[in-house]
Amino acid sequence: MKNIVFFKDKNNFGKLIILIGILLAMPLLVLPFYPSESKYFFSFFIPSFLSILLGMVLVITLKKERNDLQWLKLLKNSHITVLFTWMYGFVAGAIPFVISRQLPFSKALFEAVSGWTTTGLSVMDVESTPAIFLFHRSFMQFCGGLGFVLVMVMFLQGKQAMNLFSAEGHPDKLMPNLKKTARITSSMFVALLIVGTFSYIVFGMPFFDSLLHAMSALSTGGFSTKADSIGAYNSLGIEVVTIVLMIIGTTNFAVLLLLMRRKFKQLIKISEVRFMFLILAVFTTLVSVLLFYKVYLNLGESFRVAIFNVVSALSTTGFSTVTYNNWPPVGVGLLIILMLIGGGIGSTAGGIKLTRVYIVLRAAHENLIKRISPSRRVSAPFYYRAQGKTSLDHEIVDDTRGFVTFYLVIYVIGTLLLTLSSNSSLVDSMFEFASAFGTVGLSIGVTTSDMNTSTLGILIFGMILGRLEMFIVFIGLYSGVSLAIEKAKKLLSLK
Amino acid sequence: MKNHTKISNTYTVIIGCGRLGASLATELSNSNLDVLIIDRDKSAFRKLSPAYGGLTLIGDALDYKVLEEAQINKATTLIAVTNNDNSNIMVAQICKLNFDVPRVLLRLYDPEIKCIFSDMGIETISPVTLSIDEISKRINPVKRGAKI
Repeated sequence: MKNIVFFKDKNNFGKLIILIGILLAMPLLVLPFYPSESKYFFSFFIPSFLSILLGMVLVITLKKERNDLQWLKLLKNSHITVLFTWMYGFVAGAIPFVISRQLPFSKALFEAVSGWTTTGLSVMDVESTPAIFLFHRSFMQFCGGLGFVLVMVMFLQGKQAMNLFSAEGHPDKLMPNLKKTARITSSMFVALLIVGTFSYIVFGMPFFDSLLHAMSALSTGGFSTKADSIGAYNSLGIEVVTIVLMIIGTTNFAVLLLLMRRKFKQLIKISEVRFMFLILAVFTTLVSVLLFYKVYLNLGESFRVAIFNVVSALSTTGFSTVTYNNWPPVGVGLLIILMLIGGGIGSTAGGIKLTRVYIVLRAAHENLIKRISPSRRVSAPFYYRAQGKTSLDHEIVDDTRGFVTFYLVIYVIGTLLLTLSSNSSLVDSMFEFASAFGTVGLSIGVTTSDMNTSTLGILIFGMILGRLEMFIVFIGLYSGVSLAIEKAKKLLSLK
Repeated sequence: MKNHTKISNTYTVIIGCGRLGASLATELSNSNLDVLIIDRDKSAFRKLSPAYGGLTLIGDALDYKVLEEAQINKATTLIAVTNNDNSNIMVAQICKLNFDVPRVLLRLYDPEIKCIFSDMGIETISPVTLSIDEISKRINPVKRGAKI
């Protein structure tokens, strides 16, 4: 307890780096069960130890967090901290792969980014990868889904914690105290992890695989221990468990809390939940009919394939049961739309987010109504969140439209760049970039172990932008540059 | 650790997100207490510091449903600091009598209305009385500490 008090007012960046160091050491817990892999001890121990050391140095040397009241400074500082923490996490997460010579640095970085951002695109041959690395990958997704700041806030809460928390993209507060919000979120997650693991075991998956799959399904990550992902088991039970876990993972934490408290009446009112089930129903029907006519599977099987892949794409998890090579382009197009829409706001999922799509559609609908009604018509649209009835005012609509516009612009640019660098068809690039940008992890074949560095770079950039919701990256970079200029000016004026 | 558990059991509800309410909420939240703040006007929450880690609730605190949504029955302290004395008194009375909130504080601009609820166990803070006290202390040092 004393240590925690010591850390309280210290620099957040240092604290977060120590946290990353601790998380990197977690895979070592696997070693007692797989003694043959103890040769990999140092590939985890070295980066973990160095991170903790670096964090300590930063905590001691950097200035204390002041209780600054100037909002612009606060905003800049918190965004820089979050951005750099994640960047550090990506590099540190890649180091174990490099030290153990599993992957060269660029691919290791890709794997780490794909892990922390809960994407699940992979360049590794999972069948021959040692267990400790498989655990490392899934554990990265589990923590990446929660977010570094959330994990840190759980243990210690400094004065700037709230800024960091909202900078990392957690829009909801569940409890009247930030620490409790973080604690209840992660305890729900751990509880669900245990339940998920046991349900997998019941349907005949080995324990280790169950744990890993439950971790990546809940965080909507999608790393698997098999090359054919969930399809390798070919078991209906396992698929059903996965679908349920994916839907839970893509649900807003606040909604999950309502579910846990068994307030079903409030639950079914929430616009996002209704919208999600509507989309799932419509797209599952479309895809299964399509598969039935075009790929000639029987009706039951079409439905099974359709619902799994639709949920996997919408929840931005990226587990797959089949290959998409024999799917008609329309089916691929439907999946692209789902990946762009993405999961619930304030969950571990990526994409534009259901609520935003819902708001934009509602706003468009209102606009249409406005055009055909008398000019003096007044309307007061509202929608339901887990917190209750919320009015759909101009501010929300404007923010949402801005986000969606940015998202689509980046999506188009990224897709075109990917087509250029990987020499694949436009549809394939659209699919793959939507998958990376929405942190989904479904692949149509552009992500392979022999793709070139620029392709790797584009996908890495897409994943980072997707997980951190773009604006943090932009504001973080902007603040970093403006701070650097300020420092430079000071130095010049001193001379 | 003892101190810590003691802190986490308190839950403060603040009515009115004006200058006083907002700074109070931020202050309490910064010292890791559970805080919820209610205001009728959504734009009032602008005054909260971005470091505020508690909850906000839009609604009229004179509405029973709003108070129930704020889980007022679990509150250990209620602070009524809207800019209207009568609303403050009414919220304070509702919370004291119907929800049994252990500690109720309210701000009164007009110290003379205090008599209507003097025996209900509600604590009042009046800027006028406080200012009179402080100013007379400063200009008349002989009477220092004397009550007005």
